[in-house]
Amino acid sequence: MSSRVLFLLLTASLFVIPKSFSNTITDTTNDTPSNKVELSLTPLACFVKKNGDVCHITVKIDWHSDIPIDACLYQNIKKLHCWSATQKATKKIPVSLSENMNFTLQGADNSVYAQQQVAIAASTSQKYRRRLRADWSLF
Amino acid sequence: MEKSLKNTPLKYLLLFFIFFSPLTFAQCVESDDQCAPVNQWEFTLAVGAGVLTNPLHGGSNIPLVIIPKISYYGEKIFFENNALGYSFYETNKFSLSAIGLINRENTFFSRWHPSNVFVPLDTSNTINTPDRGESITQDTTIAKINLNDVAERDWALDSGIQANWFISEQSTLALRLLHDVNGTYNGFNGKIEYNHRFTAFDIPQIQWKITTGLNWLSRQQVDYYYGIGEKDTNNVNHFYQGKSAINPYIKLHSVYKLNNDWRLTFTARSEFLPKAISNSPLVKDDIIKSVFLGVVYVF
Repeated sequence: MSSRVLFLLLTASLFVIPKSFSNTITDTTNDTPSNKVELSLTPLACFVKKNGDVCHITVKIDWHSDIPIDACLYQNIKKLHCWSATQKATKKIPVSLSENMNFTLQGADNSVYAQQQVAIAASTSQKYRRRLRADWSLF
Repeated sequence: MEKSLKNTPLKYLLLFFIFFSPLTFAQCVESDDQCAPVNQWEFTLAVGAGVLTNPLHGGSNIPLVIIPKISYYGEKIFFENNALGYSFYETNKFSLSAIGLINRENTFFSRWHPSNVFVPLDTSNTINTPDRGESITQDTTIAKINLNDVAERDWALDSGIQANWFISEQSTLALRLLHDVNGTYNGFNGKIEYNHRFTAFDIPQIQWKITTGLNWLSRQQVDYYYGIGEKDTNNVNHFYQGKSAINPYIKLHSVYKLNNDWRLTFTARSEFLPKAISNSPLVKDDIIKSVFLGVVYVF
């Protein structure tokens, strides 16, 4: 009964979670205060069957800046793609993730222009927890 | 008394654990045998050959042929074989639980044991080593007394606190401090245990686990089970006062997963009894050994 409710909630959340939050991007530490960089990722959530499963998706990246910049896109610390003297770009990149992942657009000095998180969610209601007693602890 | 309790730091510590208990399961997955499904009963049955030695004079070794295991893990509560617990603080790296369990010590004193329910003991087989009356014929300077010649001991029900550290995917550390709650021996016991999982011999299907630890038994517990007094015998040569004891132990456990339902398993364990226990006239061996080899069916 409870698993069915959770499944329905998860299914409903597919329609509720917007595919992208392109307007929520912030330009945080750019050296040029007047410059504004906006980053958009689609989708922002990936559903797997159960916790721990790896999600393979193609993420569509859109970003634009007020002025041309040198920038690289990172998946956590892994560099995915770089642009040189670019003001606007669109690219599709296949990625694999097994947990919530931050994607950041960084400058040459590792300053963060903008970032987005892609969340991962399990569609099964089954949860697991650590066993707290050893096997055959009676002996 | 009540007022002082209200003002103790312990109260705030408990409140912290109760209200800020971030139960998380993100690091636990189905494929890991160290993880249990939440809100689901699990039952396994192992069938094979093995023995748990009895260190007492006149005590029967316990054959291990059929070993059932039943467990249940809720969001916070858990039950495994002879233990019931409640985890009031749990993260991916650490958990703190209240726990209650049946004390093992009376296993060696009892003619009844959970294993015996499933495995009828043949009292004439070679595993039994009765030496009733041995103490009479032996040199009186070496005091020995038979299990059958002393008063019966009771089962103790212990409860207390257990802390588990999940150091890495391979290693865990557990600490436990218990006190009996049914007034059997009126004392504490504790345990510190380290587990390390690994694969060896280039056979990744076989999961090995080595466990090492220390069992601490308070003076009261040792004295209740291994002490000899007027309740046991009138012969003062047999009188013995127990002292607190620390028993080191080591265990090797391996599992070969044949498929989702069947596994092969092997376990060998040795627990070393210090002089505080082995000096008792009741005790003939200073090592408790157990070994088991069998197949496991997961229901």
